[in-house]
Amino acid sequence: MESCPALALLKKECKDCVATINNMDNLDQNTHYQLSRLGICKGCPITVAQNTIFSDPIVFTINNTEIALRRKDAENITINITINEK
Amino acid sequence: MKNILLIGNPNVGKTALLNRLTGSTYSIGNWAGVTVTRQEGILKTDKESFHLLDLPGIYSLIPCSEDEVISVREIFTSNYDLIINIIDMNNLHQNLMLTAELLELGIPMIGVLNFCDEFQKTREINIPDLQDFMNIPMLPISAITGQGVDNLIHMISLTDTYHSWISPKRVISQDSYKNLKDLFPMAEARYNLAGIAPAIDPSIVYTQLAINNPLILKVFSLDSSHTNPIIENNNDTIPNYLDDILTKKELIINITAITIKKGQENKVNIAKKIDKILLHPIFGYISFGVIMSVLFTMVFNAANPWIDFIDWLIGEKFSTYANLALVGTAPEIHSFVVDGLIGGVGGVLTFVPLIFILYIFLACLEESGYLARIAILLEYPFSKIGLSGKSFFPMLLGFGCTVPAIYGTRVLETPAIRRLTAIVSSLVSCGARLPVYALFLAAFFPNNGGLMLLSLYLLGIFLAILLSFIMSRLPMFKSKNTCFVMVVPPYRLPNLKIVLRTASLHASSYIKNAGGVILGMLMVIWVFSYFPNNGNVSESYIAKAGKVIQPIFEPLGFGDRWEPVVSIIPSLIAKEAVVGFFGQVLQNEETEASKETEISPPITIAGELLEIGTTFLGTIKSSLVGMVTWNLSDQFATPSEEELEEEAGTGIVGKLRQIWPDENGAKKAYSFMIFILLTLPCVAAMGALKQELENRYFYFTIALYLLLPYLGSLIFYQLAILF
Repeated sequence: MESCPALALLKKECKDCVATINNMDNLDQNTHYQLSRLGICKGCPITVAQNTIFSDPIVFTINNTEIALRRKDAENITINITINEK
Repeated sequence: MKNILLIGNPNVGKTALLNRLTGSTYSIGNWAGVTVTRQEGILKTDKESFHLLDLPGIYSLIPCSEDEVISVREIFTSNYDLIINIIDMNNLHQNLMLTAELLELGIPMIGVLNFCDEFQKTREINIPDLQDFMNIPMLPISAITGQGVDNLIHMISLTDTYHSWISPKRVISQDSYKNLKDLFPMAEARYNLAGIAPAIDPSIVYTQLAINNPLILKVFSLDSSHTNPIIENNNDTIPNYLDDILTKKELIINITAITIKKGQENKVNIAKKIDKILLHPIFGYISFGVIMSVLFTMVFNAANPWIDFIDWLIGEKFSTYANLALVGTAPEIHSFVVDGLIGGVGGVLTFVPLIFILYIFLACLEESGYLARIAILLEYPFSKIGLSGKSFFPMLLGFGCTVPAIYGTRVLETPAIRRLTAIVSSLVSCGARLPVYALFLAAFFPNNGGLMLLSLYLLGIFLAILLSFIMSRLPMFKSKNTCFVMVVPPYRLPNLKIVLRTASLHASSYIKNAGGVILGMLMVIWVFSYFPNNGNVSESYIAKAGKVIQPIFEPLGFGDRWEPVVSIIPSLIAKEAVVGFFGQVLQNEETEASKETEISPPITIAGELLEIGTTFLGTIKSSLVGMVTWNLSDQFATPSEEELEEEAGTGIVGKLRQIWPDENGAKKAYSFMIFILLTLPCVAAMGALKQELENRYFYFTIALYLLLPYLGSLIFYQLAILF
């Protein structure tokens, strides 16, 4: 199972993929802390709920909660793709 | 009296619960940041009364914004007997993170599982296991419908049982946390002076010092330079608090064992399908434009008949009755009542329908959850001008009133974004400026008033963008570390009762706060425009003062007359006072002789009541028809000849037109409207700015809004007269 940035979930072949968060350490301290406050940590399930214009921000579903994140932050979250529903 | 804190994540229904328990009428909505200050109420039961304090939403005990600081300070420093932790059942992962932290405080707590009606339609949860694990009561309720609230009131009244609602399973019970006290001797020495609530477990306070909680550092008069060396030197022994809380939260989630009811998956997915359109890269913006256009058209179409009705009722009918009642009285008293008092009351009440209807639609947007989606759509363009997508909320409020817009900036992420949004939100043309534009457009732009109005709104928005872009590049306004993490709220059908209550609150707040000031100011203006020559305004005190400063404004075009120059003074009290000012000044210019020759037709009470009743019913019909017409072009339609004649007949429009009969009259009027658009906001808004900005930013803002309107009007007028 290979780790990749959460942005990979936007790829066509990953359209219906389910993944889990592997690492958030590359995020800036503030964003990392904000996500932790929402109960988001390693192992939480993550999917793309909605892409927006310029893919910035992107709405992810994490722990069944829809959370909008900036593209640069999504680049710094690494995930493990666990299920490809296709 | 027992004190109870209502605490929870943003947008979980804390204020709705406070209103439900205490019968209060605080404003609520479906997005984070509706409550930006503490709100309180009294719950009366058969046995005793309880003081309830509703605090702004927080995600953890470490505050990240000004409104969160208010909450966390109350939690750590005020004396209270019980915490009611409101939890959104639909969002347990996120909400239980705070619950896990609150349990660490060692204070009696009730967990309230709000939105149980929504949740139970699609999912099931194991509440008894949850309750057993946390050892506190967990009550499913719906603050909106009242389901389960009686049960909650019963639990609150069991004051003798409070002590048993302290969770025994706390991470800070471990030795590693208990030992933290020894690492911070300077805090231990100051503990009694810091004002920490005695009921709070000291271990959680020292834990907050170990993670550099800025608020706790502040109450101990410390900063991170004191704690950082200790944290670095004891890296191995200081426990990882955040990780421990995350682990505890995961454990609680596993216990809850949430399952989706059979056949309910489709309902869960409806919101996702709606978001596919409303957040779509292209259709999202199209639908945003369409929804906003339709809503604003509906607001104005529904409000305009009521504005006309109140204007007619007070300006025409009540003035006539007063004229008849005051026959034979001294001219000063006659003029004071008719021109000063009735004119002033009319000026205040005319805008109540517009404010009421505007807030009905804003409350619907909030309640539905769409406002949060708009912030996501606008995040990208707003971040390019130094703002955040969330800055849209306060700026949208600015179209109604600048004061809530400035207070609304408290929910923004960084001080730089907060102050920048507060400063530029004054450029979003507020509802109070609209009557000033309407008056001048009717007088000087009878054929293209709608387009001119649009140009003023766009000019304000353009300058807000330009100023924000420029200022965000300056060191004092530059955001060092902007973070955008936004929880998307669920879609909800707006609750009519809540929507109407929110709108009523805003309308009554306008009458109470702005109305009194405007009326008082208009009275003062009447005195200075009536005396010393008994109504001869051109020789009045106000005219004399205006004529002294008039030359400064001559390069701006409108400075060739004293009336618009002097009207800038009441505009600082409230922008709509400009209309009342012109009404009084121009009315007073009528000769007393012409007034005396007016012959009033005979009136009967039955006839008057019939006329008022018929007009009232006609207004209801026009308002309802206008609301469903959804014709955007109505907002830019030119007034008909009859409407103009009718308007000129009441005097003010025709008389205003006469102050600049020359070919540059329209340019001077537009220059004046630019000045009103860009000038200092009203005193109430300046008070809000003073409260929200540090002194140097406040004085910078004052200087900016003294310079900007002068430059704006000067550049426009000097360019306009070239063509």
